[in-house]
Amino acid sequence: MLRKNRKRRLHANVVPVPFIGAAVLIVSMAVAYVWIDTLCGTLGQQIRKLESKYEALDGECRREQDRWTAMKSPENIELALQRHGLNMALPRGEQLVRLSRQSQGGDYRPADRYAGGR
Amino acid sequence: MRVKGHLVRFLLVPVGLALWQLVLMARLCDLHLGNHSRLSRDWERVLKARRGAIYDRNGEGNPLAVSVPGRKVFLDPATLNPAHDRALIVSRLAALLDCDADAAMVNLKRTDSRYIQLGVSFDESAMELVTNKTVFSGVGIEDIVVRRYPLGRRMAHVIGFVNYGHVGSAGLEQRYENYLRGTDGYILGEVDANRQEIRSRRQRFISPIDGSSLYLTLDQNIQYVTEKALADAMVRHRATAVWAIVQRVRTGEILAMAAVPDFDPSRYNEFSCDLWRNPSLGVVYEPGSTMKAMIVSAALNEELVTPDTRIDVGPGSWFYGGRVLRDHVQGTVDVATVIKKSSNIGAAKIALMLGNRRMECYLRAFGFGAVTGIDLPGEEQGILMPASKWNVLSPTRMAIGQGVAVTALQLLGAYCAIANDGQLMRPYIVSRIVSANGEVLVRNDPRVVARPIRPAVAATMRRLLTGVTEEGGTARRAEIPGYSVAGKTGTAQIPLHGGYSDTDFWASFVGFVPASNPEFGMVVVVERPQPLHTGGVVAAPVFAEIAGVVAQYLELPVDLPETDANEEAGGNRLASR
Repeated sequence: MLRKNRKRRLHANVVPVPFIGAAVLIVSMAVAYVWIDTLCGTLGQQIRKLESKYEALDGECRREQDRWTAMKSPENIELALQRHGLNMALPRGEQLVRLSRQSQGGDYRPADRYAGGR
Repeated sequence: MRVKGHLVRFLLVPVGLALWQLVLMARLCDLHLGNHSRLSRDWERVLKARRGAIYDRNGEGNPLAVSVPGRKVFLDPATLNPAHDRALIVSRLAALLDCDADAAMVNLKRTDSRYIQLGVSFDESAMELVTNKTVFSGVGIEDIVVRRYPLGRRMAHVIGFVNYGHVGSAGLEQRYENYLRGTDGYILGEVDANRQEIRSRRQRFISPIDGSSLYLTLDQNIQYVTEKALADAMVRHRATAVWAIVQRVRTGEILAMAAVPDFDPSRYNEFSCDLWRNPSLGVVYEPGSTMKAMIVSAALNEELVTPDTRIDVGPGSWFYGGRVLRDHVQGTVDVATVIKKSSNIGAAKIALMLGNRRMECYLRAFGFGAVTGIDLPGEEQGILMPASKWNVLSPTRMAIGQGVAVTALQLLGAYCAIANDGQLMRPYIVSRIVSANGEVLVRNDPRVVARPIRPAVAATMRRLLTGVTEEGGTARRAEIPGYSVAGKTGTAQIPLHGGYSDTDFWASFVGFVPASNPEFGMVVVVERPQPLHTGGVVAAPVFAEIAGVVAQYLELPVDLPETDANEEAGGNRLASR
């Protein structure tokens, strides 16, 4: 009479296969949850940093706009002209050449007094 | 037996570990998914909406008011590290904030306060004061938003200012507070132990709605020229105040509105509140002879007179209603001369021809006695009594601009009506209001509010008013090279204790350019000029100085040939001196 294979029966009855499967599934889901949660946290930090960076850049942009506007104010431009000795003036009325939108072939006709290179 | 005992020991440890693992996982799940307000920190933060900007007519390249993030720097002497070099800290603060280094050193030694404000910095390097803890201490920084006015005092009376609570308190900042303010947003969430928001736990987020922006009709270049001329006039004539308005005749757009003395809107509390008032629409004054044009216009419109109608003004004085009215014009003159030489008796007699009721109707039709409706706060309506309350002298005195009070804006509007073929336009300063996402919320268009006189009468009046700046007129100094000028001078005594002052006057000039095809009108008022006080001598040259540049700036076609005298008088107005 053959002896019973006690080893097989011993191993066969320790933990049922469905139980192992369920445990693996739960652990996998838990690991996945932790991984996704960590990912969300990381993305949240990146978003926060980008938002802060955007705010900082926006503020910098407005500060520069304020500074630039002050620099090119009429007062400062006049001071700059004086500083560099530039003598600039608005053209007088008769110095303006008006181009007609209706002129043919794109040519314009300067006032007679300016003809001949005066 | 040995096998069974061995089996129990073999299974005990892993089962025990597995059970412990299950307990930990259950606790972990409970912490993650459960509601434990005592373990995490609820956190809420208001997202401040950005206040809208104000731009001039040239658009977003020229902001006149803009909210800028800055850093308020304060001293906290209690946190000063004794090992740190105080002189270095103070010198850095002085360089950053342009403040007094000695005062900062004194404040750094104080023990009675932990919050000593020094100033506001817009420089990123200010952060070094708190991040570089090996060198700096005793300094704190607070993030704030500051309303900046890049052009400084320019247009201060129009733009106004915001108070410390960032609420508009004067000018356009006040008038359009509801548009500029915006709506704050809100975040409700949780923070971790480092007080960093747990982004995934955010429960509520309401985005802030930034304020809308105002686009004005003002031109900062014309405003600059105007303010510069007014400042010069104030010094030259030792006046107490000077104000001027430049307005487009056909549309009612205000191109410039200036007054001196002015104030710095970013430091408004350092100036007297009297300076905050915009005199262009907040000060009523007796217009003097500038009112004569309205009376003559009315008489022409009623066909009571023509430009050639002769009026006997007598020997220079006229007794009527128990009082004497004096005049520098004598004899019999035509209506054109009444305007050209500003005859008091001539204007008074024309007013009597009109009659009280018609005179009142025409004055109200020209906009006097009521607000113009301009989109600025603090506008006065002036003083124009109903005709039923006039006495026998009233029409004769009102014809020469006494017994009636107007604002510069009303007067300019009336003259622009003459320039605009008899159509009185509603003045406005805000061209449009645009929301943060680009939607046009409000657009102001030109609007005719009254037609006091017919176009033909308006044309006649333009011709008569042009004579004022020609040879023999009272405002030769108002002429500008290349352009015809129409206008009227005004010299009015300032009322004083039931009478009139003999030494204090309002000198004014109001007109439009060019007279042949008016594009813009301007009024200049000089308060208490000394020693000269007539409109022709004091205000007319200021008008010419500004109008000459404005006409060139707007590239208006010349309508007068330039003579040598004109060219010398005009000169190169924008050249460096």
